[in-house]
Amino acid sequence: MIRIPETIYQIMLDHAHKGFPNEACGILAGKGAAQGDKTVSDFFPMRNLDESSISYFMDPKEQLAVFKKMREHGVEMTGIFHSHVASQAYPSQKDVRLAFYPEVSYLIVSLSEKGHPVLKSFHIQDEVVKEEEVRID
Amino acid sequence: MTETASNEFIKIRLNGKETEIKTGLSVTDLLLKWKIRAELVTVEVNENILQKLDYDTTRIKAGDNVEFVFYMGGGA
Repeated sequence: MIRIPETIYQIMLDHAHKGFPNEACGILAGKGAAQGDKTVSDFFPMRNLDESSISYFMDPKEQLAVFKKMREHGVEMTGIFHSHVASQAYPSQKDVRLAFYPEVSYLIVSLSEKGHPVLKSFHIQDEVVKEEEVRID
Repeated sequence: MTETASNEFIKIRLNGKETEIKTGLSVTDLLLKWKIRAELVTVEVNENILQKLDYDTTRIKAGDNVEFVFYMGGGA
């Protein structure tokens, strides 16, 4: 399970809407990645270098900077977030192929239905996708 | 003997954690040792992001700060 404070969830949604019609992406940080019961305390909006409605790619320089910030704050990466602007909230083949952090949650918000964003979270390991519970507190 | 043994290893910081590695290793050697495919990561040594072409020739020295991150991407 991954728990996300309502305020952070709203920031994630805002980031996804601002990025529309392109996909938006970001990194979630907090505690509990190793235990599988994660609590989110920070969200880092990231730039989508692809600037595309069908793909995203984070800037490695930004990634390195965020990883250092997480260490400074004493938190760890708990999730990798991106939006699907016209498809369901489920990992694509490309999402699965590029999932290199098996201990974190892969969160996808679908914006395909206007006014009704759908957020789902998954674990992806060895190309096996398992949905997990998301709790917005 | 002890002196020789200690000279065979150096201390570096890897993703913020102090780590001991053998002396004389290149970035390519390190990635092989950790079973990480070079084409899937960005590597930074002492705040400088390396070009992949330089992985073979960049030797890690004592006290170096080495960071690597896997690519994060995907899409609908």
